[in-house]
Amino acid sequence: MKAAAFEHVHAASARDVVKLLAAEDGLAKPCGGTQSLGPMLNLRLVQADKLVRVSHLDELKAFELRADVLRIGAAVTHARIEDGLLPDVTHGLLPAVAASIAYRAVRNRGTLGGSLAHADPAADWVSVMCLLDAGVVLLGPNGERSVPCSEFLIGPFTTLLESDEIIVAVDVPRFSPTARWSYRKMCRKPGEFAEAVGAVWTDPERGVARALMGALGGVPLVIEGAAAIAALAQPAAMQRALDDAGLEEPYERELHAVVMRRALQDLDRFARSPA
Amino acid sequence: CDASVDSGAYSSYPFAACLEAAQVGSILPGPYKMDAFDCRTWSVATNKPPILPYRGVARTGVCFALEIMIDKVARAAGLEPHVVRLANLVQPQDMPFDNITGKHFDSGDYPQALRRAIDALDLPAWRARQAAGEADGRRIGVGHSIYCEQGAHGTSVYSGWGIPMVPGFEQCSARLVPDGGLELRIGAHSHGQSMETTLAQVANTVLGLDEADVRLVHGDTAMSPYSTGTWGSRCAVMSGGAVATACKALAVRVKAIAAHLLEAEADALWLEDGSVVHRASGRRLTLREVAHAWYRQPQRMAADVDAGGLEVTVGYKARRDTGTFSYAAHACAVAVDIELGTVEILQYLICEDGGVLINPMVVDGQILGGLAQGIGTALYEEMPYDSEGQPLASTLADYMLPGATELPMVGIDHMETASPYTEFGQKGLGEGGAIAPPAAIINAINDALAPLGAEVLECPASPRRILDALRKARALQADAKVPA
Repeated sequence: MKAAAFEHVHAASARDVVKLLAAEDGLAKPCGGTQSLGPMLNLRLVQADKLVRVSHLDELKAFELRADVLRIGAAVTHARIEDGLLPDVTHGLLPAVAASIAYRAVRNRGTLGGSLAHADPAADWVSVMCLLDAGVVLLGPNGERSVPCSEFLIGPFTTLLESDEIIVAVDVPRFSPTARWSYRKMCRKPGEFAEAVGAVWTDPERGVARALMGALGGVPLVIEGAAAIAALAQPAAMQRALDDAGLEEPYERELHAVVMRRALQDLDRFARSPA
Repeated sequence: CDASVDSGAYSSYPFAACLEAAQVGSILPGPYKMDAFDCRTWSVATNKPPILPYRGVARTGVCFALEIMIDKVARAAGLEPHVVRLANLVQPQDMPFDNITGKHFDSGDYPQALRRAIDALDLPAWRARQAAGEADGRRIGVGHSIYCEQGAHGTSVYSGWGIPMVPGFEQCSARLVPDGGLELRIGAHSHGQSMETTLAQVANTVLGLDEADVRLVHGDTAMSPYSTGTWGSRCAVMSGGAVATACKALAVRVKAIAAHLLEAEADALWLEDGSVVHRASGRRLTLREVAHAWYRQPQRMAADVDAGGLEVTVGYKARRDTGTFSYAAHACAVAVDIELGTVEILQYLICEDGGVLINPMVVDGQILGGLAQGIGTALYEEMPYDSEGQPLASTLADYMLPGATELPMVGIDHMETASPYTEFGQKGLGEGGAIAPPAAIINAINDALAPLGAEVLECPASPRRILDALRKARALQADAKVPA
């Protein structure tokens, strides 16, 4: 199928995007790389009178190294992150995850902001930015606001974004030298959506220990604190986490438990020996 | 055996609804010798979309059922599965062989194909690796399967089915055009089978002209003979036979004209390198010169010239129309992640016998394309329905196809046992690549799962099916441990 007719507008600036969206009263949608929105328009799962392109705007393609975070413009593509064209503040986490998103053709066009705005529970950035609780910077008619990713995501395909708001950037925390991470996902074949995601981030200097179960029916489950994470090695604690994640089917519970456990094992296995 | 086929709501062709089931009843014995056989089949009308014949019609399912069962027998008997197969396969000295359902096997050495595939796989090395265990905890499994593929079967076979439309013979129009090129007009259709290449080679064999000077015209009965078309692995045999027959008739015409122009006997002329050659004297005429004389200078023709000229339409009728039997053994090794249910194919080897191969590279292409399709059947492709009969995979976002990353490197070994019934000894083989993989791969998976007491008996062997089988096996074992 082909999409129903829509108007395609190139905005002049991020503020211009917001103005155009506000004028359409909910019938316009911002579009980034259109790697998810495009197919959904073609399948007519989504209909929009007007698409306002944001991915060509230089201000949204920029990045900036700040004191505590790397601010990544919303229109930065997965491919640029994969290729290491941004400063690596996550000890390789972001490039490794970017390289595993769909196919290179998708990564060439798909954007970080677009992926978060789409909020597909199986999307890699949804899990990773929740794991890092990255700040999502939104721009609306009343200016900018920043919300933690865990609050930004409300449910499957549902976020805090108002119809006249766009994501302009994502603030990714700069890892301390001793920070470590692991990321596992299970998918039927490369490029398919994940059936289960397990990820861990520990950063003792920042006082952070977070584990995440992703690719769930809704928002990812985050388990905080070194003790709670260590407890996942116990079957009872893992079963509780699967309950908390809303998983009922035996097959899905098994997959998520295995992927989570392997992510935890990776963190141990690749632990640096003391200097 | 009782076989039920879910045929859907309508028959898309007068007999398509019953084709799959009807085939099962006659091809279920596969390449095995059997003393007794009983099979009842059912075509069941349901509220689903209709089924249509698909590459390997019924053979993929038959091969799957038969070969999975043989592996179960081997496991129960504590034997390597190929030992059970070798003891039951039709032997080369039995050829030609009429099996228990009356199928006439033209030629072949099935045990040799199986042994060659198993040897190429290096079974002892895989068994040793399997016993040693993998560092990553995955389980190694080895599996194989063998099948036969009847191709190019014709009038006597289909008229016996009592169906309303029966295929007949095959024609080709061949003409030498004024520039010395050759046009071949056939009723079959080439949509990826490389007939342009293969049939040009047939013409080269008969007429000795460069394949690049051959043009295949097909796909429009305004310009070609009628035909039942491309199906049933028939084109190499039927269109190949028609092209050869037409080219031979054309050669007689060419030689007659050239004989007059060269002042030689037609019997003393040879066709080679795009020319007609009188070997004794070394005198020659190019086909272009012969064509030019015929079309532009008819005054140079003999008084008793055949006015039919350089254009013939001739048909091909097989010496025996029960078809050719090509076959192959597929052998593979897989690694199964028993926690996630994922499967990686580590090695895949095929020993195929397609009779005399007209073009081995085209044959490899058919096998590889079929293999990709078969791997899809084995591990990915599925058309699920809900309890109301609603299809759940109606777009390619839901219907999973294998891609480049899912296909292993493949080793192909060719045997070439000539068919006694065809023009060059060639056999039809267009469907075989897709027939064997589900059986070979699921046998390998079950070989890996056997120590855990689990087995998969359905396609595709998705992670869900594999984990379900393992969970079921664990539950059974837990029950067995509970004291009565």
